[in-house]
Amino acid sequence: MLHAQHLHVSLGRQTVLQDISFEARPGEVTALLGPNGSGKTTLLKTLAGLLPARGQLQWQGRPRNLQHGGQLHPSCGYLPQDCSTRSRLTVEDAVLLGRLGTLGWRVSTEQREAVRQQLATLGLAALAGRRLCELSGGQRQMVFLAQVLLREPSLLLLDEPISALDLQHQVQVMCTVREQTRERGLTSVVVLHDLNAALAYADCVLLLRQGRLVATGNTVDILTPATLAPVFGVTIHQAHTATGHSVLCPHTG
Amino acid sequence: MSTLSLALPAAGRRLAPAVTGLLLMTGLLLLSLLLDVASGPSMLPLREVVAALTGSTVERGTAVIVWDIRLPVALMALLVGAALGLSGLVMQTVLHNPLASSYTLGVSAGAGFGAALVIVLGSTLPLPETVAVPLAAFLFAGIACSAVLGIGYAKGGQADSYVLGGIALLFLFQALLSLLQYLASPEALQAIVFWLFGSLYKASWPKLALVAAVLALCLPLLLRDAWRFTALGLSDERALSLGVNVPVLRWRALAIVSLLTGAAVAFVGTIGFVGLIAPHIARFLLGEDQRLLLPGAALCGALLLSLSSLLGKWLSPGELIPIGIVTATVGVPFFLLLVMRSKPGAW
Repeated sequence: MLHAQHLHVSLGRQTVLQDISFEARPGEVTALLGPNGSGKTTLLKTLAGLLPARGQLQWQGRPRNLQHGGQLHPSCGYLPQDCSTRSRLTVEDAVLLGRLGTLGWRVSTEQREAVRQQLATLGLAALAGRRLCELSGGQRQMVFLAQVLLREPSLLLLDEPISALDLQHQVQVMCTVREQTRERGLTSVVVLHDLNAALAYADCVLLLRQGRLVATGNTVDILTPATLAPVFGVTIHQAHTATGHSVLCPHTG
Repeated sequence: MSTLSLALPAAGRRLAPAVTGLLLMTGLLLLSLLLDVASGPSMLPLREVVAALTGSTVERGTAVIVWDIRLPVALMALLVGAALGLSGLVMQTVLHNPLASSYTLGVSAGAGFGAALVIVLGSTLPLPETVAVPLAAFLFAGIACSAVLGIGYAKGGQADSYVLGGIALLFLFQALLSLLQYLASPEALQAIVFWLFGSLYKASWPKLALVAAVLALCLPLLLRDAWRFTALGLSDERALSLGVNVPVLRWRALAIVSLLTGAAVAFVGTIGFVGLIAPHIARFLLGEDQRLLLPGAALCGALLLSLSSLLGKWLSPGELIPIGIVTATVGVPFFLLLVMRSKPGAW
């Protein structure tokens, strides 16, 4: 269980997040939504331990030190938004870095096998020998997701994991995140811009606006036109498909 | 029990070429060392050099030439080349800048200023010039490094702040050096210019021992962070997401590199090009795995400087061409050839 109480985050003299309180439960995917500049990435980095904050943050019943930042919490798997790199490292070696803390001079066969299995899980086995700089942005994002999952984190923090992916890979990534969250009992917080992806894959939602948490709760309760319209500043319509699923679409005028 | 493999790039598929590359470089290095010792105003047959080095009976004159004159110079080329190659690689990695070297951070300029200051002050100092010049070069290299590290630390450990701080110091020390050259007597000016060219002929066994000790201290410290350097090669944010404390790693690496560079330039002067080119050649041959790259860059640097020393002797027998001139004139075309032949985005 991740339990945040009255989190305040400042970058320089600017207050980016104010009075953020929420809970994220294990085995559930929590979608972090909000307009650009609302503080989603800042909140994710704070949860990862990379930014200092004021307030309280409890992870699995224990308080976390929020004073310093700069160091990833050992339980976290954090996927940054930016996947650009000029590295000529191979995909297999890049994913292996997910085990950075345990890597010695020699790499065991088990570690190599774990990498291969992780690549196979995400359908990336064919890319194993390719260099990172030769991949598309979407492929790189998948590789870095494999890297994060190889850390076997208990708190999974993903910053826009599907924003650079085509539809097939969006489905694949979000299904994998949901499966891993359920199977391993992970607590997953995922920044998304796609409201329908949040509807389809998230159990809970945190809705941010201008550094404040404006709504939190079950996905179906929060992702309604009435809640979303004032946050995003557009009229949103909700429709239901023949299979009973909800679909949100902005009013195109 | 788990089976272990060296598991170098891509599950060992490129293990053989990578290790072969390192072995080949080591072999070339030994050959270059032997040829360097054999070459000079009086050419020695290779078997006599080998005999002298292995302690077999040779003429006394040959033993003196090999052990007292040529071997210290040839070994200094290896050690300084290794130190510069290694420091260049680490600077380029932690600063994400392919142009980073001891020049970029103003370290060489600092050392040059220190040496020039002592040369100008000359007889007013209590120490003999042979001791005072390298000592001042080392101290001012340290001062330059400390200033760069301080600037970087004050700006939160960002790569750009180190580079910008280094460039600012480079211009500052160059300006101060120009001032000293302007004020220096003709004799002092000549000595300053010769020091700045870089020369291996200042080598001696005690100096060698000092550079070797610094290298022996720094290389294991850097190798201990090999995986973290590999992660940092992806990007700062990616390394942070893998649990690397990037500002601390960057500061630590640059502090170690400062020591390496200071020790190298103090005894031979400013030999700049090796620190820039050796890491690129190593990366071209070995990929991005820093477990291979760190020793690879050291080997490349050593080989480059040793071959340059050899070439200098062959181009102008009996003359002492400063090594810095040879490395730049021969190295630049070779480096440009590599750049032109590489794939887009590889540099």
